[in-house]
Order: sequence, then structure tokens, then C-alpha cells
Amino acid sequence: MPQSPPELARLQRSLREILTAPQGVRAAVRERPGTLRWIADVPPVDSATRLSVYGDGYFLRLLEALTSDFPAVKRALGEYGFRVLSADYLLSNPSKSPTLADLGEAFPRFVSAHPLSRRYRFLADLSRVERDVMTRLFESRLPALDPQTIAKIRAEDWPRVRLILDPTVLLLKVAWPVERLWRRRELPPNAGDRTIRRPGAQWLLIFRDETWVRVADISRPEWDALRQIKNGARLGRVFTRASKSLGNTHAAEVQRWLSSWVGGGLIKGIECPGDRTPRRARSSSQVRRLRRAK
Amino acid sequence: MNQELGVGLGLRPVHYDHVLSRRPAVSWFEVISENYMGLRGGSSSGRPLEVLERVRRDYPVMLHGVSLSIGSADALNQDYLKRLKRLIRIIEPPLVSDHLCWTGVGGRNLHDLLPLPYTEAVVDHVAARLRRVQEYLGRRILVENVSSYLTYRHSEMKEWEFLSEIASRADCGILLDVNNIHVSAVNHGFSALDYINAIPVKRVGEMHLAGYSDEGGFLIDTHDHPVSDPVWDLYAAAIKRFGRVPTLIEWDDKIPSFGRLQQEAARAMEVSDAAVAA
Repeated sequence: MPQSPPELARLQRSLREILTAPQGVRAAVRERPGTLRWIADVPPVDSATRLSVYGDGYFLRLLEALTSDFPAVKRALGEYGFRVLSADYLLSNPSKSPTLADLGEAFPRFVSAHPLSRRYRFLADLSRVERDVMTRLFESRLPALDPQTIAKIRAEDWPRVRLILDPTVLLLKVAWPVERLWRRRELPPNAGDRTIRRPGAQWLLIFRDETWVRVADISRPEWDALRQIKNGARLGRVFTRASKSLGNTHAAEVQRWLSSWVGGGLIKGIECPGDRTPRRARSSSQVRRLRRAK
Repeated sequence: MNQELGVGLGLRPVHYDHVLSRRPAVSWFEVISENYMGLRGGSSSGRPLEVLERVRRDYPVMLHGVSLSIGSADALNQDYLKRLKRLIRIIEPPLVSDHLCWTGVGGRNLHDLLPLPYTEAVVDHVAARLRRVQEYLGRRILVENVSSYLTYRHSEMKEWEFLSEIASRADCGILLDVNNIHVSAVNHGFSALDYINAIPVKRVGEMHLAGYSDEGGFLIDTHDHPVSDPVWDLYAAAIKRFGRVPTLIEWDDKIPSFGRLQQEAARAMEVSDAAVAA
């Protein structure tokens, strides 16, 4: 593979250092005036000002991307706090991907170790939820389950079936009750709580429906049941375990869960005992592959 | 080159619902390719691609990239090209384009369209990379002139000579951004008409129109205003030279109602009709 011109590599690396300097372009140019030798001086705008257009744009563009991906974290910290957190993050995690959707990939881990998390102890959980929302957005959904599939299951087979969840379903346990902060992410800062003072575990169900990603605060037994289903447990085993924690309310609660899972589009297939292939909807990519094969 | 396509609009998420539910009268849409490629390491592209596939059923969709970084000193990003090729296979766009610039180096991405020095060595470098990209994608692509705020002391030719030479050596098309020509002409003090008149007619496969911000005589390509009068005039001159090339209205910030975008597209058609009739 041909090499790039050496001068081009030197120029680009030099500009990259100046344009991404945390102290700003003008200060960076003062420290490394050699960079200006590349830039044509065309009055009335001096070279440092011309470089600053790109330098200012760099931080603002990435800040905007993080703001878009972590609105609840920003609401909790306020404009200034989020700016500080983002600047620190970008310094240690510069973008290495062509797509801005990847920019926040390491944000939750970074937040959990950041000094702001000592003051806002819920922050790591909140950023985790927001990143998971992002990953669910980019996960493909399977088509809706055909109601006939359910009708065809014989009553005696139900304990032995395995339910297939939509690939967007993600189960997350958090130590702080951050779901309500996520729900308020678009509200003005003074409309309702921005922070949480006391910890409290939440069992969250994150998934994408036809319009957007949903975050639901569900009960621990329901969360446990979904986790077992996701891990491939048969329905009988799932509900036997649920009955131990639910006691007398077991039947009604399980019926409510099933209704909500089917209605919410979480269930996308059913594996019946004796079936050679699971009864599940085909994804659009599967359909495309089949069409090409014909 | 696809002259029947007319004037298209940039499709942005704020208008997804409107487009899907109302199916408004628009000749075609253009999207930012990277927004439909999914996450790094992921095998799917989720809702954005689902929406795009639905839009694609009713409209031609062009793919316009911002991160090919064709002018970077780094090696071409094979993972990026693989993801772009997959997207092209799914969407089957009439036109695929990116920018004549560099967006990162040393494995880091600045997410900006940075100008290149206009030298023979860089012409060779970029043209060779474009040929490899086109060979890998199995199709011709278009490269767009970027708006710029600086130039380099060691440039050896004019920007339009640089663009034309690269297009010729790479045998690629040109996406001529008329607003970018105006912005750069004001910022660097050259004649926008000289630029237009130097571009080879047969290479121009698409044009872009957008609005800029005026920062005291220094123009910034913000895509957050209507197309300005000087750019409309330049567009008329471009249509006279290049004919009815497919033209896109870009509006990426402070995005107005869809109806306002359609008004801007209608004006582009009027300017185009008048230029052809003159």
C-alpha cells in the first residue's frame, strides 16, 4: 500500500494537537508556534483565528454529541458541570470512531471513576442507563409475533416452552433509583428533581418498541423471570421460581406479566418441545438473505 | 447524470415521522451515511436503518458521508468501508458521496472537514485512495469541495485545480457545494465564478445548497440559515454551466418545518428553470 506524503502526516498530526488542545488553540499556538508555519496568513483574519474556527468547533461538536446521548446526566449536573465532565472525558477518551454514536461508549465507566461521582453518587448508574438506551436504539428488532403462534401451543406444552425475547431487550440492575431522572431528562432543570439523595435498587427493563427506546422500572420477580427467559429457561421453571417470591398473588401477576410482554412486543418467538425450529418471526436481514438466495 | 432527479432534501430525524406518515412530495432524500451504520462492533443498525429502509420504499435516497477521511495520512479505515458497503447494498443509492478533506489522523477522529494542502503529492495520495475506495465499493463516488477557513502556505495550485485534477486521476464524480464555494471565496478572497468556470462539466453529478453565518465578514458554513442571495446567484451560474444537476437543500441546525424546506427546494427549482431558460 502506498505511503502518504511524509509532509502531510506531519502537518495533520501537528494540526490535530493544536485543534484538540485542552487549553484552546491560541494558548496551544503560543506554546507551539511552529504550527503556524503551515498556515497561510491572509489579512485581515490572522492564522490563529482561522485555526480557532476548527478548534472551537471540535469541542462544541463533541459536547453536542454527548449532550444528545446523555441528557439526563446533563440535567443532573447542569450546563457547567456537564461541560467539565465532557471536557475531562474527551481528554482521556478522544474519538477513535468515524461515527459519533460510538463517542459515549466509555462514558459510564469514566463517570464512575470521576470525582463528580463522589458528589453525585447516582451518576454512574444514570450514565449506564443512557448508554444502554443508545445501544438499544442501534439494535435490530424482530418482527411482531404472529398471534396464531400462541394459539397453536397446546395447554400441556406451556410449561416446557421457551420464550424468545426481542434482541433489544436488556435487563439492568442499578443501585440508585435513576429511572425517574431518565424520565425527566427533557424537562427544564427546575421542573422536578434533578438529583437523588438516597440509594435504592431498581430493576430496569430497557427495550425498543416501534417508536423509541423504553426504560421501565419493574419488580424484582418480573426482572428475574425475564432474565431466566433470556437465559433460555423453560416457562414452567421460570414461573415455579416466581411463585416462590410472589406467594398467593402468583397466578394473577404472571398473567399480567405475560400480557404486558406480548403487548409490549417483548416476546418474538416461542420454542415448543419437539419443534425442529423455533416459531419465531424472521428479521428483515434474514428475509433479505432469503431473497438473495432465490 | 441523473438529471431527472431534480431537487432533494436532507433527511434528518426531526422529520422522520412527517416523512413516514405524510409521504410529502419530495424528489429524493439524502442522508448522512454514518448515522445509519450502527455502533462499532455491532452487526445491526437498529431504528435509524429501519426508518431509512421505509423511506427508501417511497423515495430515492442518496448516501453522503462525513468520515471517509480520504485525505488523511492514516491508512483507509477498512471497517468503515465495510460498513459503508453494507449500507450501500441495503439502500441502493443512486449517488454516494463524501468530502475532499481529512477528518482525523493517528487513529483519532476530529469529526470535522479539514482542508488539504493543494500539492501534487496530495493529489497523488488522494486520487490513489479514491481509486481503491471505488474499486472496493464497486461503484463511482462523488467528492465534495468543503468550505474552509484556512489555507496552507505550501499549496501549489488553486482549490478548483486540485479538485478537478483529483476527480480526473481518480475518475470519480464531483459533488459541487455552491454554498461552500461562496464561503471559501469570501474567506480566502478568490472569485467564486472563476471556481465554477474551471470545474469540468462532465464530472459534476450533484450540487449542494445551504446557508451560512456571517461573523463580521468571515463566513462560517453552519447550515442553519436559508440559502443566501449570493449563493442563489452562484447556483444560477452553476446551472447554466453544468445543466440540471440533482441539487440538495442542506439544513442541519435550527432545522425548520418540513414545509419550509420544501419552499427552499421549490425556489431552487425556480432558479434552475430561470437559468436554463435564460
